[in-house]
Amino acid sequence: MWWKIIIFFGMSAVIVAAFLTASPMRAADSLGPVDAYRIFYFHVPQAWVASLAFLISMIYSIRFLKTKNMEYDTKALTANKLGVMFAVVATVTGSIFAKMTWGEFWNWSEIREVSIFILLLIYGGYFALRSAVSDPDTRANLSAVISIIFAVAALFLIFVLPRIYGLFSQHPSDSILNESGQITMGATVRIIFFSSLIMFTALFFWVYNLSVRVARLSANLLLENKK
Amino acid sequence: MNPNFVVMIVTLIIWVGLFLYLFSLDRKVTRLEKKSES
Repeated sequence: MWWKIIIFFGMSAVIVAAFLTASPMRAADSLGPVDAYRIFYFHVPQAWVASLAFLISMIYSIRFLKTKNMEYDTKALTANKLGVMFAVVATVTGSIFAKMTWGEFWNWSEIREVSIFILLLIYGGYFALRSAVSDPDTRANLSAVISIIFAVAALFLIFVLPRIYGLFSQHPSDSILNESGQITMGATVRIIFFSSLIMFTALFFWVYNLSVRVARLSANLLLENKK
Repeated sequence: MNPNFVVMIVTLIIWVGLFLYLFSLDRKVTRLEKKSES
């Protein structure tokens, strides 16, 4: 109970601080108003939560393959659903940010936009596969294996690929950490950014917990109806 | 009015709505879980 209140006031405080503190962006770095920077406080945590969700799905998929417990299949599926949802939200906020600072909603020479597009496509494949197999055991086995492979691909697409092809990215490589691993943000920005990161992670776990419980309830209901 | 302030208010309203939705959903799910246990 108390943690819900913390999430409520924490996220509200992040929103208020994100819009009322000074934007740290230099006018030379942006085609539009520097105020667009404020979306950064939400865009990066959303992308982080998406990768966290794919990682959680991978962990539950491995546990499913070890134990064959259908509960883990539900948990892996729910994590993937939420991961895709947060990835879509991160793509939309990123696209708005791109329009404000770079002048275009979408640009195929921007490596992060290409990589998130591939990521959304492969997870589309995951859901297509799940709905194509009718036998629950086969479906759970197949999607567990695919989930593990896709989570590795997702983490590669989000964290590794944009750094290898840094030349094809307009994303600043030092927006959070510089090359020696030190935080580059000023004190105010740092506090807001990391609070936002924590609040988004907490919000994710709450939504995740709720979705798993709803999925469990509807599965029980199906079983009762069959009896 | 400062445009930043307007965007902040709109974002806060969306967040409050989302929070209330999640909060009521949590209560409903808890009630259903108790019902299916008994």
